[in-house]
Amino acid sequence: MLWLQILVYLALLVFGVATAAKIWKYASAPIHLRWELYPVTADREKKYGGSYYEEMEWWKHVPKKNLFHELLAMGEEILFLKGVYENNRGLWYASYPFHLGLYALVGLIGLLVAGALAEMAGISVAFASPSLIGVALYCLTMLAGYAGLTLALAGCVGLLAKRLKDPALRPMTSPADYCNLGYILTLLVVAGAAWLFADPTFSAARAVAGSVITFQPLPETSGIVMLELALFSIFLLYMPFTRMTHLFAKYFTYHKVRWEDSPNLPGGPWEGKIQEVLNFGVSWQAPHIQTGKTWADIATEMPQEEGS
Amino acid sequence: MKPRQEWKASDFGMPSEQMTELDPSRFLKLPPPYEDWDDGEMQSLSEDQKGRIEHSLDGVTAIGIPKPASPEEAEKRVADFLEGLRKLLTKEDNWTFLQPLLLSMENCVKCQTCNDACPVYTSSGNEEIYRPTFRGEVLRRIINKYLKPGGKVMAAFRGNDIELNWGTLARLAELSYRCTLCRRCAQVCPIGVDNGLITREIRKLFSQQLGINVDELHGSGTVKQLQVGSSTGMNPTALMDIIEFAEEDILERTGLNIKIPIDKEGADYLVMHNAGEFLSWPENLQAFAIIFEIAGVSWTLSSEQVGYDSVNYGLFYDDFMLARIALRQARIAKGLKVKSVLQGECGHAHKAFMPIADRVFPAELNVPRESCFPLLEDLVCNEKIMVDPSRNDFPVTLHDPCNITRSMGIVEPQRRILRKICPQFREMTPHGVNNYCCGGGSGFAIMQGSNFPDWRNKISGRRKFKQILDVFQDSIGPETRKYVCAPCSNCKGQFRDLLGHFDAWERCRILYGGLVELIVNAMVDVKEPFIEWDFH
Ligand code: SF4
Ligand code: SF4
Repeated sequence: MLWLQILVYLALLVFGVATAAKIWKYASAPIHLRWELYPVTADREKKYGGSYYEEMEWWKHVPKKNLFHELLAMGEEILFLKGVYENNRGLWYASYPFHLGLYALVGLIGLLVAGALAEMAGISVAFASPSLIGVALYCLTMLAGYAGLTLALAGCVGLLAKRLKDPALRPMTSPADYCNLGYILTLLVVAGAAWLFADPTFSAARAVAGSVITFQPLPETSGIVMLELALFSIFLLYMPFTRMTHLFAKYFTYHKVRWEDSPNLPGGPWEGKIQEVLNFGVSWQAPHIQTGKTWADIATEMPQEEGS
Repeated sequence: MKPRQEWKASDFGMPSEQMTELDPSRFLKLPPPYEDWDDGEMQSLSEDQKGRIEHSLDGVTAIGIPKPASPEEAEKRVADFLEGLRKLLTKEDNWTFLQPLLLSMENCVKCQTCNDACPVYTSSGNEEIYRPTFRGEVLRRIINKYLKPGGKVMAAFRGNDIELNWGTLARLAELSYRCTLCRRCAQVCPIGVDNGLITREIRKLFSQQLGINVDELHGSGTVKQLQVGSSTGMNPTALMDIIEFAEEDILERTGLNIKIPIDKEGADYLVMHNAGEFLSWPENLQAFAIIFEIAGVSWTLSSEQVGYDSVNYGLFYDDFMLARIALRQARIAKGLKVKSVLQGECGHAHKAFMPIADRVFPAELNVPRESCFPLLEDLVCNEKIMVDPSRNDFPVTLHDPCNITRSMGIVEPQRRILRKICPQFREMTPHGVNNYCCGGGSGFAIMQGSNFPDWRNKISGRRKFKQILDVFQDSIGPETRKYVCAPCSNCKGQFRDLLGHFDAWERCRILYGGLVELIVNAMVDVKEPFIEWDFH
């Protein structure tokens, strides 16, 4: 089973590194020109989408960023897929259970790890456990696992059907899209079969989680549980290279673009950052751009071909 | 030609004389009195034009890209394009939009939620190639196949089998001018992907790397503005003549003897108008002068080249031209030692000079910049000028310029004014930050070449025209005069063409105009009606 153990660690490593690299790519990008879209949610008083630009001498009225309001809005988006609900109800009926199911399954992984740690601490994780923690972990694991699986399966089938049938979606769906969804569907079906027929109380899964976090050899368990683990590992391996990372990207599209809303006020933090990017060298080659100079030089000169 | 609903991004590189033939019978239906409106055929190019100009997207040409003289030239342009695409993805060359671009390119989940929000796509009868996601998908496939390691091997599997050739590029360049950059699609995207931004980045790549752009925006637009002072060709001498004429006209129309201040150092506001106001709608310029003089506002215009024209078409296609113009304008404001620069009724100038240029100003040029609407609101609603709303007792609706509302959040001041001065003010549906573009956004309003205006009037402006008809249904006949308040010079340009195309003045007596004209029309200090009910 060494191969599977190696696969699991490799998957975790690649997933961690690739995800971190992608987040870093977005986070380390230089400042950009402002590109907000109103309403900017931090300003809840102006729900209709008003901004400080509605004030005379607006620079005296820039509201403080309200992280709570931003998180509230993001929470609504993440927990309820509010945007899809409001603008694409037909898709929401499939997409929402799918996402909710996936959240529950991510929760399941956490619960399996917590359960494994509890067992290491001598707490029995079972319905009849003398420990309340053990009972709670057992019940929550069962709930997250089976509810998550049911929701994700239903949503996944719904999404596949939508992509195959909906004239708005079909032409824009590529073979890779079907493969991604097909793979997730296979993974869910195998996981469901593994739980129903070989590991109904997740004890084997918990044992696997325990061995992974303690770097011990994987426990002997049934073939279908091993298959489930292998498929999940492969999923982790390629997931960061797909647009399934929209999960993380959404933070940036909202907080760093749509809602950034941070004006360059004299003496403020933007001045230094702007100076830095204005010194970047430029290699665009159209005749009106003096390639090889800095951004600042080009922006203050006349276009070359017509220049004076 | 394939049935339009079967077009895929992968077909974009296939040889074809023309990908799609627009079918007017599928266009968005209009309410009375236009139920039986015959759009006729789409205006086609002459055989000579077809021989010279790229038109293989939809038979329409916005840019007028000449066909390459030889296969070698075509190949070179393709290589240049790929080179430019690499630059678009590097921080030095594209710090201006790299982060939002990467986010939008890499995270679209293809849910197509954005489709129904797009006025172009829906007005065209869901023409496949006008989907908000289509051009982004083409670009994404080119990046995946031609720039990523192993891209060609993976292409077929990923469904990225797009062929990059000159035809692909010519179509993509044209397709980037079938979107008004209104960003309605972005607003409904659950991920925050912005197909309007992707469109602008495509335009930018063609302009900054290959020098392919629309002449009205570049050569006769930003370049002319930097050289002569205004994209209209108005130089400082012509400006002074126009100002003199405006003063005489004010005297004649209102009896008010008003001197328009020029280059007044230390004024509170340097007012910048879109030069279109000077030439096509001088009543707007005059109305501002009347309001400010009667209210005792300290203001001035500039007579320096570029300082009297707030236009900045760089916003639509090229970061360097955008920055060049904004920096010139800021320098002029600095020289006049004004307290702030006040943007007149022009949406794109608001956005270009206020939020967008915010991050190209070095500290010494970071001049305060404001919108005219809060000031006008203060003057009207706090009764610093007296108005008699009964003078505006006709149906009025408000068009929201995308750049002012969705992109800047200036929504209520103009409404509060209209609610005060227009007893029959009514809102379109939807409005405010959810408005529909006039159809002339992103430079379309001034693009008059070839058969593009026909496309603009029939498709990109159609949704707005429907909204206007809908909002005036209670009095749609020609016996009632109606007013579309469009506080944006470019939007007015579009309305002039759009309402003209549909003959809406004759059939429905719908006039368009600015906000300040309505204010002056209601001012008790102005004895005669200011709005002249003739369509121009
Ligand atoms: S741009 Fe947004 S709304 Fe449109 S398909 Fe992509 S993810 Fe969906
Ligand atoms: S920006 Fe506007 S016109 Fe362009 S694709 Fe989006 S909704 Fe359509």
